[in-house]
Amino acid sequence: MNTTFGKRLLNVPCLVWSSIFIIVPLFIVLYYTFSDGKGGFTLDNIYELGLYKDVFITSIIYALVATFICLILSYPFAYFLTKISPNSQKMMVLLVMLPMWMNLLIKTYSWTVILDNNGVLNRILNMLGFDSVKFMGTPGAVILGMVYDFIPYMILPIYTTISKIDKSYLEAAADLGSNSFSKIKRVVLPLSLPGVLSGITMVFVPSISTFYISQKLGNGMILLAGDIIETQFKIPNYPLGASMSLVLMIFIIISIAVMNKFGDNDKGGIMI
Amino acid sequence: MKILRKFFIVLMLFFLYAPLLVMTVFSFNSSKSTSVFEGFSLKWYEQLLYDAESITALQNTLILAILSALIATVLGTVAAVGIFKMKKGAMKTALTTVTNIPMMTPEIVTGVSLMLLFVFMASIIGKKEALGFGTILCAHITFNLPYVILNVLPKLKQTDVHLSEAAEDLGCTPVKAFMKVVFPSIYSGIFTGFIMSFTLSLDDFVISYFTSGPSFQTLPIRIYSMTKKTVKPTMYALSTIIFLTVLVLLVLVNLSQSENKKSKFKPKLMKALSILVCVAIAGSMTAVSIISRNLKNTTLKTEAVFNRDLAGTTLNVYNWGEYIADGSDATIDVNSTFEKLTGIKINYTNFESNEEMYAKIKAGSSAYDIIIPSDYMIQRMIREELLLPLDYSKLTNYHYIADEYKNLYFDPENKYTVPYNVGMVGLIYNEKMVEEAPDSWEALFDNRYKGEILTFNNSRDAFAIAQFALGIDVNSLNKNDWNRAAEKLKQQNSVLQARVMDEVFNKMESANAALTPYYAGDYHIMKQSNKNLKFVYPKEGTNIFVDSVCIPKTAQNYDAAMLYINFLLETEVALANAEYICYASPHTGVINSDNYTYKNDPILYPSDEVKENTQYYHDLDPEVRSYYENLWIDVKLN
Repeated sequence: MNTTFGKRLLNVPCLVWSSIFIIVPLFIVLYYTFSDGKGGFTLDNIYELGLYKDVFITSIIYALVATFICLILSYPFAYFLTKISPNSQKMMVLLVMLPMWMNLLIKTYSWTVILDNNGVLNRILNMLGFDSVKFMGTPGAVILGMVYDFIPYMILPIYTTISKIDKSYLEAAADLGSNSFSKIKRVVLPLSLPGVLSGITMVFVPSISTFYISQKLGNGMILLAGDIIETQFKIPNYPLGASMSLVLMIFIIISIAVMNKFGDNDKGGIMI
Repeated sequence: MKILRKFFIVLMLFFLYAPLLVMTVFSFNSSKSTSVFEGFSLKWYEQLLYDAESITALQNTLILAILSALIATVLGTVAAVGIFKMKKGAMKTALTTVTNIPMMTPEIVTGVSLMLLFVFMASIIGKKEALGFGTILCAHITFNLPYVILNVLPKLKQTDVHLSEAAEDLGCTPVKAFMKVVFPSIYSGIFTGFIMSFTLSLDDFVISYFTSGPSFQTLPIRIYSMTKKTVKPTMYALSTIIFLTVLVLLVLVNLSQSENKKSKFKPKLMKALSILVCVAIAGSMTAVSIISRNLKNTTLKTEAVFNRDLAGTTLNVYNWGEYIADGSDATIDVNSTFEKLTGIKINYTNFESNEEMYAKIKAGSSAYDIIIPSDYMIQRMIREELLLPLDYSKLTNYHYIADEYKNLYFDPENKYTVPYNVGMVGLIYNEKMVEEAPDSWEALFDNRYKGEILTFNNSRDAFAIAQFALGIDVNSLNKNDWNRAAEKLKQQNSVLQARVMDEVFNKMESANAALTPYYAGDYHIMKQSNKNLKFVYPKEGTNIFVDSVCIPKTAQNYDAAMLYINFLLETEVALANAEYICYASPHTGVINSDNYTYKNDPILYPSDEVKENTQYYHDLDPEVRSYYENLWIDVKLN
């Protein structure tokens, strides 16, 4: 009796906080979504979204690609991290985070200096006898921006779950004849899945609405959902901006629910 | 295998640190450019000594990041445990989904909706000043929350529930069982949650902008606001210092924990050393802010006597970034001088665009006393009754304003505004990259320069170029006119290299592009780093803008605001600003001064012939605005 009460009590602070600072603003967004700007009710904002279908699809594709690249880079990286000495591991975690502490605008300018038509990278290519490559303004540069922005949010949760895996499981697998590849496939991967799912969520979700680094590396030639929502809030056309972000939110909730349905086992429950 | 592993780790770290290397290099640049390295110099580090605002902003940012990360970590960990223990069901799903919403919402939506919430809450309790440290702290905790939960939950799923049950069976209270059994096994998740929160909070701009008030500015807000002009390399110097300090601390801490007995580093010594470094940093930050206030030039030669009746009151000034002389390069520090002469304390904060400033004033979020919007925004704000009339009888220096900048269209009766800066758009080109000197906007549509042309990444300015080229009124209310301009812009897509705003400096200085439209004053900055750059006012005419000082209706200290406006009109002060900002001045005392670097500069002060051919932007009807914004999206998608 006492303990169940205690358990319920645990949810109180978060519930109170979420109600004030998340639910109420959500209602503000809902209000604008169905508002015609003069206090009346309308569905026009939803209908108008059809015009921006392509932008949303582009953003989703870019975010998916960026998430995938983050995942295939982060998993081995996080796995290798668990192999080095425990003290260095702590330092590495902070080393991965440290670049994110620097100002985004300055990092963006710096990427421009590296990637521009006669930037650092192209000069190195020229020195090696290759022709210059146009990096800036390509979808590749936009995705690079997203990967750069969010990769720590993939590395860290994967690392923390892999590092927690009981070594004896691995020994047992080895005793039962697993080679290192099948050890990873059959033991490490399944046990680190919660971390992978968290990582995917933390990369995919913000990637969809990001626009800063990726917009700038895209030379302003590639339009993303984050851009058009920002534009609506600047016009200011809050109703249209709000309905765009609501639709984006619903899409994200559905896709994460689907992901967790496939990825999560019985113990965890749905993570989102 | 082991070597391969190490190689991969090093490669990844190189990817993460590549831009920081570039940043470090350019912090030592002797010119203002952040793309062309011209020589080694420590001058930006030296100038940091004059930048008390940035040091204060950095302190604010750190306090905010640590506090919000700590609170979010506690709240999020408790929530994660609560969610984990809940029975699977609708309630559990709902709670987890709700806590994730801040991550799913674009920042501007979170920012604006939280601002509206805070303003509403303040109006209920009858508080005038809705936004401050508390509100920005709440906002940061809210967007940090999902990151903590997403790091702690997977760790909880890994822990064996039976262990804590066993501990309880053995007589532990639930709390004790948690602390002894669960906590150690989820600690690393909590730690990464904290680090992520700290990181997110440290570099947030959009949400911070909308939820902070005049008394609290963070470093990201300060840096982003600089994009009206160009980001000062002192920000590179400051970032490099932060970066290197943290790196050194990390290495020291790592060495102090070294278990290797043979190590020549004594752990205790290293620990002491890292504490010493921390103390030294905190100390030097305080020292710098004290020194910088004393270093600055705050004496005026003027005879004017300043009334100190309002000493002790506060004035909230809201301006573009890098839009006032700050005491570097032997100029006057305008704000400190005013504080010294009048005893009025100035809270000085920045905005990045007219639209963002408007959103905050419109919401009535904070008691701003002085704002400096552009012409079309002033027209909108007057129409919406967001400005207070000025008491011109108190503006003894108003006579300095040149007649051509009085009674402008946005304030025909001269009731609300005092012009501050004037700017014009022109064509900047690299003479080595063009075949002949351009004289028309058509050069920006020229196939010969395919891939070397830039244009504005902002709808109004980009449309204006097409409109001037086609001879259409930039303030047209006729949708057909906008359609024609949009068609013209679509033709431009195939020759464009990029749509830029502040990045234009890097691209033009490092000769990555041949032609761009930009603001006249900024040409002088670019030219310092690339002598091949030339400037022309195209024959079809161009846009002119005036940024003026106004008092918004949110003002709480009207008299001090009037005193401040008159102070900005002191010839010496206006001259310092004109030199620092590098835009044209509407102040006759400046224009005629022999000490003025840009006296009779043909670019800042073009002939009457050029001036007659200019148009101001007017504030257009929201429907037209939406119409051309949609056309703009269409142009970009083409």
